[in-house]
Order: sequence, then C-alpha cells, then structure tokens
Amino acid sequence: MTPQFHNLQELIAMDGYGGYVWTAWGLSFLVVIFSLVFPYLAQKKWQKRVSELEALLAAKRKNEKN
Amino acid sequence: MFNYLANPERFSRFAKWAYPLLLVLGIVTLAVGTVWSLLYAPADYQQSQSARIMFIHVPAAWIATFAYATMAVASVIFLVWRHNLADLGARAAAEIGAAFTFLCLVTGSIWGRPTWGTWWEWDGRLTSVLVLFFLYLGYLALRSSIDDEQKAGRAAAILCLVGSINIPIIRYSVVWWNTLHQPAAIIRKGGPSIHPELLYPLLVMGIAFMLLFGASLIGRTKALLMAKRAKNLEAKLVYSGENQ
Repeated sequence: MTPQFHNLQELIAMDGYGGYVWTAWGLSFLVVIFSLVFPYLAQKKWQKRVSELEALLAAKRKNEKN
Repeated sequence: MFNYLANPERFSRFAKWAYPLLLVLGIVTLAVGTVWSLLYAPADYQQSQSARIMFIHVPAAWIATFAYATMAVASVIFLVWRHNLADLGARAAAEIGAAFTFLCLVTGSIWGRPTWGTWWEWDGRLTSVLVLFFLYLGYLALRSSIDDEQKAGRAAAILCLVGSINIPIIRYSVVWWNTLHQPAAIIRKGGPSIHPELLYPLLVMGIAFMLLFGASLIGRTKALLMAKRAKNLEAKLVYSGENQ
C-alpha cells in the first residue's frame, strides 16, 4: 500500500473535492461521537438518579422501622 | 438468547462487559478504516477523490437499514413474548437508526453534487431512504405521544412492523426503477463488482460502524433501563409517602 497524497495540502485539497469529502467525513464523525457519548452520559445521569432514589427509599424504610 | 437477555439483571451483567468491548474494538477498527480509506485507498477512475465519501456513506446506509431490522425483530419479541427489554431495545435502535439514516441522506447528497450535478433527486433509492427516515421519526413521535408505556410500545411496534415493508423496497429500488443511484456493487449475484483496493477499506469501515452501533445500542438500552428503574423507584417513594 502506498500513500495517495504527497503532502498535507494535497490531502486537504483532494483534487478539488476537499470541501465535499471533509464535510461528509466531519459530519460522520460528529454523528458517531454523538451516538456514543449520548448513551454514556444518559447512563451516568440515570445511574446517579437510581442511587439517590435507592438511598432515599432505604432511609425512609429505616425511619418507618424506628 | 432472547429469553436469557430479557431479564434486566442478566442484561446489565452482559452490558457490563459487552459495551466496553464493542466500544474499544469499534474505535480501533474505525481508526484503521479511516487511515486506510483516506490515505491509502486509490481514487476512483471516474469519480476521482470524491469517491472517498463512499467509505462513510455506504456503512451509514448499512446501519440505517440494519437498525430498522433490529427494531423489527425487537418489536416482534415485544409483541409476542411481552419482553419489556425488547421494547427498550427497539426504542434505542430507532434513535441510533434515525441518526445514521440522516447521515446516509446528507453524505449521499454531498456526494451527489459533484458526481450527479445535483444535491437531491426524487428517484427510488433516495426517496425510499427518506421514507425510512420519516418512519424512524414517526416511530419516536408516536412513542412520546402516548403516556402509557405499554400502549406506546405496542403502537410503535405495530408501526415498525408495517413500515418494515420499506426495507426490501430500499434494497430493490435500484433494480425496479431507473435511478441515478448506482446498482448494488457488493451484495450481488456473481460477487462484488468493486475493486478489492476499494472494497477492503469499505468492509473495515462497515465492521467499525457495526461494532459502534452494537456498543451504542447496548449503552442506550442500559440507559433506558435505568431511567425505567428510576421511574419505578420514584413511584415507590410517592406511594410510601402517601401511606404514611
């Protein structure tokens, strides 16, 4: 396998198609990152909420027993 | 397998190792595929460097239809066996599928401009993929418009199964109608018509997108499961407060 571009300018220009290629690739990476980060953040958020609610429920049950 | 994962506890244990594994494998494969596609794959003899859009447009299209097939299978499991986790999985697949269908449409449009001379054409393939995007949006809108989760799940599952007729239409649209879109070049009788130097990096990108779809699906389903658990706990707290 040989590299198709000799320098960074050639890679960015892509024979005049750079605007199309880099826009499409940039957008794709945004969607991929979003589709991975969003579930991760949602997991963190709900995990925290579940822990808070479990602690609240446990405290309430303890109060009821006393 | 379905019955095994239908149990939330078992699913959580499965997600604990499957989610990071798919995520790491997906990121590594995506890095390899990106370098191969952008730096080492040769330019197309007709489309020149604009053909590099193919390496993300085609995998996005695969995920767009694969996510819908996943949704349809999960909807059948939910309707027949009443597994609530399948309903959550279908919803997660719809959210990811909508994002990748949007990506497929936009990258296709960007690619169409230099190759066809137009951003959009109402031909069979493009229109049927646009219908797929609206099906995803309709599915998600229907779910959020009904408060009762069981009723929302059933209504959305039925809509999903009715809409699944669109999947073979997308697949065969380039055969049934005269379209600007090129015919199938990979999964076809007689093997792929695409040159191996372009095919291999495309397959690597396809595998990367599949792995990342799997990670995202598991992660989102787990988040929805936790949200449901939080709702149940909130209801328990309210109930115990009212009984005091």
